[in-house]
Amino acid sequence: MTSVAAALAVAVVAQPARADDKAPVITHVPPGTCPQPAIAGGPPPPCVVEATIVDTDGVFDPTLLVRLKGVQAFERVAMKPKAGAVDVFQATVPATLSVAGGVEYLIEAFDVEGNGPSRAGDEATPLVLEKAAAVVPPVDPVEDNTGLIIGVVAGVGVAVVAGVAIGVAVYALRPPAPTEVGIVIAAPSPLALTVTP
Amino acid sequence: MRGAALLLVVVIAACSDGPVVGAAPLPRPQALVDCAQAPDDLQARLWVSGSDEPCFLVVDDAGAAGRCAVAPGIERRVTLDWFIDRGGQDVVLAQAQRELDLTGAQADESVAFVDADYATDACKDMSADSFAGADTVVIDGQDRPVCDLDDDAASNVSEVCIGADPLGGL
Repeated sequence: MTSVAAALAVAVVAQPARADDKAPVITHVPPGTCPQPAIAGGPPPPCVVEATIVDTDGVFDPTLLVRLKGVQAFERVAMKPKAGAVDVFQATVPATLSVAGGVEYLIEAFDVEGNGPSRAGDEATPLVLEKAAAVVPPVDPVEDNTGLIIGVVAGVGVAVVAGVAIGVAVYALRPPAPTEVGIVIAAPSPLALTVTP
Repeated sequence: MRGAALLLVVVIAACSDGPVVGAAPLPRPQALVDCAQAPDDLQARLWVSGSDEPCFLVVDDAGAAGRCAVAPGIERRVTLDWFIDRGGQDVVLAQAQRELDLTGAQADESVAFVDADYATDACKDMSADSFAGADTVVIDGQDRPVCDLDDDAASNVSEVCIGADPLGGL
């Protein structure tokens, strides 16, 4: 009996822990575009790609593979855990690529057991980051007098309209002009006709 | 004594510009001043330029007065005739004239004549032309001075005042 129990214990100890054979699950919502500089010629804001990558054993080597459209080779950019977010990893597209134009990319990751790679996108049909529409430079209020001109013209127009309206009202309300006046005469008898006493 | 009130008449000046005051007094023969036989049928009328019909005034011992309606908007010439009727013929004894600006008139305008305004020997017949008038009037086919109808160098008023016929038997 004792020997049977010992054999079972050995068997339990000897049996290796059950390993995860599944690759990580990648959940990714393509952002579609990379933001462009707020000021023409200025530094581009970071073009960050992030994905939720889940694996029970742990994620290993999550990577953003990125290239310009038409370029064969991908650059590999390691994805880092996003601070304060569980299972979220992110990487920044190199600025040289994000400002140049359309970018193709894919995300891949393994787990610590070597399962994988899991991918979002693939080399044949990579995901795409288009170049965002150009940002209109902010208007310099000193240089642009359009608003002032429009305001002045509108103000003058309103003033003219108001003046005309007032004039019309005054004209309409004016007292009617007399159609007849009297010439009131007072005349003494001529001295020449005065009887001398 | 009629008219002895020194012929001062209240002037009601409704217009800022006012009527034109008469020119310097016209010379008047002394005989005319001493009117021995003033007519008792004296009449007065006002001709207003632009109107063919005169406006008759009320005459009393002090003078003449009245109101004559007229359309405003232009300058008018008014002519005052003192006259009598002799056999259907108007005999003008004295006459006065004024310019009256009614361009912007909104109410009645008052005109007060004074004796200095009167002419007794250079009158106009306003019946055919109420603005310029005519120096003569036709009687029996003859042009005769308005204030000397018998054209005898004695004015109508001077003859009336001495009891003579201003028409001279015409």
